[in-house]
Amino acid sequence: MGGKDKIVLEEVEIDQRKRRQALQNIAKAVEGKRYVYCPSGWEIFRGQLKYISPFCLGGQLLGLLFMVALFEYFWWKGESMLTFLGAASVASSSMGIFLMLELNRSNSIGLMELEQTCYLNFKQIWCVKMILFGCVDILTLTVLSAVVARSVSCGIFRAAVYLLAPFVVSNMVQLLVFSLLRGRGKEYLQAGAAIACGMASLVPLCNPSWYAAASFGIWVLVLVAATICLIGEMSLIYHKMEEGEILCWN
Amino acid sequence: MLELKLDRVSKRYKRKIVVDRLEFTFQKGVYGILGENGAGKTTLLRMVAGVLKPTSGEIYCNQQEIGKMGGEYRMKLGYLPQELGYYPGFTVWRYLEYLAELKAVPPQLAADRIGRLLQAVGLAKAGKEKIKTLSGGMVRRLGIAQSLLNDPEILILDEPTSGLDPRERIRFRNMVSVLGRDRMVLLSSHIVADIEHVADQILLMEAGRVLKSGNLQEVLKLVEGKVWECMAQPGQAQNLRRDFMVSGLRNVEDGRVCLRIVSEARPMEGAIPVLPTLEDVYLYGTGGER
Repeated sequence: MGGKDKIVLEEVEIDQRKRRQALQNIAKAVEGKRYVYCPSGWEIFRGQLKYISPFCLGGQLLGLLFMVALFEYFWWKGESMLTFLGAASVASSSMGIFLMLELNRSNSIGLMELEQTCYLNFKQIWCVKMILFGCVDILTLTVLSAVVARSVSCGIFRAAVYLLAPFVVSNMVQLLVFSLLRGRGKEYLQAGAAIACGMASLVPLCNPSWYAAASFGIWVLVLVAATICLIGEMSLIYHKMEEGEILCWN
Repeated sequence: MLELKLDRVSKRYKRKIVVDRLEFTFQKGVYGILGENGAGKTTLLRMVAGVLKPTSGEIYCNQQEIGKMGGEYRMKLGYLPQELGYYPGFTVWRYLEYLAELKAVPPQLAADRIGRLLQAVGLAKAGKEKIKTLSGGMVRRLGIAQSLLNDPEILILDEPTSGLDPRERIRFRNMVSVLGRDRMVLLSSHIVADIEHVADQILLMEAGRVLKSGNLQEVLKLVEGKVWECMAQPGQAQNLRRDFMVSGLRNVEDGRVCLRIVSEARPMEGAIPVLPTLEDVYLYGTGGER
């Protein structure tokens, strides 16, 4: 220790008054501190799962199971490729409704204003819901594309484009309804829009040549255009939500 | 020390300016915001709560811009909107559990806190009831309970007492007074008596601007020497109502009318100056009876 005497801690004299004062200061500082709890991503996801409408999530999952059962039935009956394509197109253009209904829940009752002021604000809640429903959408579209690819004898990529086009167009229309209308009863209009999109997706079946390889470029163009519109719509809604006016009812 | 600073904050809806270059600093204590419909109270509270983005200007919490603070700022907030949104199918308990989760209340503390808050607002027995079955006053009390779930440092209450009966209003006022000791409470109300009883500082707003601010005594000075009481015949009283701001009017047994008038000059012979109240200030600041 460089010639210096060692200090034995036990022998150091403690000033009890200063000790008390120091302990009091520490206790005061601890009291002043707020207990901050930041839930992890998994905790947020698990927590939100409890509050998602069973009708919406269950409906989405039941839709997937129904389609699997329906295709089994079509195979058993030996239906034509157009039947497969029609059913898959209607399913892909209608399934977005469940997410829209779920997102619409807090909006239609004026809860978004309050949710916006919480630590987990509505944008984060929406993200959780969109991820969850998006995963089911991807799963459903994958199953539908595989079935269509098998029955139409086209590659899975082409089948995916045939189904993604009505899916994106339908979501675009539903988002438009969502952003233009507010208040209760909007969910019926959204369901109506989804049904209308489902019916519209059957139109190309009137002329099966539209599903020929020669027309595939048009499908790609429709998909790209609809995707651009959907992204534009989403960014517009995001901007409006940032401003906050659409969160407030009065 | 907690400080919320409004730096030339404005909000415009299309062409209409609702809040106009507002500058004010809030600290701990209860701030009562008073003003007629359309004065900008709700818009101001929404901007402070981070619901609305100011068209121009900034809001700082302890020198940090609230938009940039994000979740850190929202964690300090408790907010009661003018119209409380709720899932009608939720029970009272489930609704509070849901909001406790959004407000990042630690799960191990949530149940205890919900129980205590329901007790405090007189809804202890309504925990299992669906919200859609509650009366308007009970929903309001539920709103007050949810605003306190995260033990907020900044409590924003927009018309908290509307729909409450007198007993509940008194209970609420006492609660706010206690809460205001160690946090910032911003409270807007049409009910002048509520503000008068609980606010440490009063902000009188008109057309998006703060007309007058200060403690009750300071605000009352605005109409000091301008409040009069006089007796008049019913016909004469009608004329006085037309020509002056009448803040009170009652019939007296001898058929005459006793009027309370806010006026720069003595409204009539025999009128005597009286001590002003906050209602007189409100009337004076908002331009009188409409």
